[in-house]
Amino acid sequence: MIGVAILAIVLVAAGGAMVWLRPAYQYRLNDVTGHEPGLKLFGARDTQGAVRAASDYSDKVTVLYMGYTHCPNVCPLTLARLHAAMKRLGPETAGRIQVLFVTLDPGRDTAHLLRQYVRAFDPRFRGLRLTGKPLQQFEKRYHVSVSYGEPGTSGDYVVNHSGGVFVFDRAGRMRLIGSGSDPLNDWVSDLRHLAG
Amino acid sequence: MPAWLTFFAPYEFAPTVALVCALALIFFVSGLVRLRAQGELVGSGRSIAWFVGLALIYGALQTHFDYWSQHIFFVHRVQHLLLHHVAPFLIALSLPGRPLMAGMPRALRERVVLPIVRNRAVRGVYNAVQMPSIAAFLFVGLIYLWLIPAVHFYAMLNVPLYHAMNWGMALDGLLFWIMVLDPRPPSGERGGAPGYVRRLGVLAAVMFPQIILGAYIGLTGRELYPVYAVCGRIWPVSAMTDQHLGGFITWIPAAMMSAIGGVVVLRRWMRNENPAHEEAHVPPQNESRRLQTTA
Repeated sequence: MIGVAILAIVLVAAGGAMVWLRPAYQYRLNDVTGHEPGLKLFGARDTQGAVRAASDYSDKVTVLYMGYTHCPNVCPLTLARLHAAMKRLGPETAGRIQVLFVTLDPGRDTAHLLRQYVRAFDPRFRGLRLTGKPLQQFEKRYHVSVSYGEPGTSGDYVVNHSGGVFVFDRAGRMRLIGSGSDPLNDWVSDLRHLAG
Repeated sequence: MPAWLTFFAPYEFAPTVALVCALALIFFVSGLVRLRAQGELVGSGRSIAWFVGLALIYGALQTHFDYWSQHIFFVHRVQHLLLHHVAPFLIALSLPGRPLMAGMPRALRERVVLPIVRNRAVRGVYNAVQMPSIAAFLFVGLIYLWLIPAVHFYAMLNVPLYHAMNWGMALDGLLFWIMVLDPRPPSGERGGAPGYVRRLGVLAAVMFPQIILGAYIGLTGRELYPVYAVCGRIWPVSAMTDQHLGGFITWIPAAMMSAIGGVVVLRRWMRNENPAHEEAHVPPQNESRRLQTTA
């Protein structure tokens, strides 16, 4: 009888604590605060050739996505979704957000091609390039797998890669992971809350 | 380095895993040599079970198999099958206690290991988690816990949580199989070996929840583990195919281990019920059988 009473008290206390500790805003994308490492760019270069560091974006919420310009479906869909979210957020809020597209195929994605590609989706988006070991370190840091298919007769090949989009707050902490298939409303709501 | 050799290199070197495996290997081999010098032979079957079990744990955690496990769900399920079922089963079957104790440095044995083993609090906790009902609850509970979709998502992303999950599975597997495969005759005393019927009951009790969970994961049409899409699968396998294969691995081979464990328990039961049968097959000078009941 005492055991049941103790168990009941513990359960009620745990339930009460969960309600009390529940944050005022519940993120709709995956909230990964405290689970993933912060923003680090491993000496990535932008499409003008300048080396970029996480501190360059410290005044903004950073949305990081990795893909390649020859990607047939996932990358265009994801970048289109991010553009739609930026448009819905309006220029003021969107101005506090920086979308970065890191190419996983630096052999084909020249700086010029990358610049044309990202700006075709949204002129505010920026492309970044990494090669060799820094690219491997970058992939490892964010648990991103990349594999390259065999080239076809035209020389084109497929790059199998992560569909994750990583969102960092102004302090460079990773806060959210989403994807291009998450609803637009979820993206708009969460980005507005983080960048507001 | 040839490309195939890179498979055997750790994806992420974990000093704790390497150290534990290296020490276990050194102590066991040294123990075999010392016991042999004293006229005590450890059977080759036991040694093979030990080495294979240890190699499986090391291989599951410290080769590129671990990288595959982080990026393909069904490989992750194979990894946990090895860490929680197969490798601990083989290690428990090898009865490594006596060779390990004999092989470690005397100072370590007498100043560190034995005081810990004899500590009343440690023994109390150990006896509690080795009670068949609690051991069965922990065995199944851990499998369920890490496969709750929300928990699984974070376990695969958060490095310390990922290591805690894998260590926890290996440790719990060891505790469970040591209890089930205990070579001592059953005893009603606290800390004694549980009865054979109870052990067989435990094996059956852990089998059905694994079948239910595996069947659910393997047959559902809903994607349960999106973390593999977030991080990217390393092979061109669809999310649902990956999940279904993972479910079947959780279902069939995992449940089969209960049947294999049951065969070993029945064998132990028959031997302890009929010691004369045992003696008739063991030459008097062969001490290896005796060790099985004393390790």
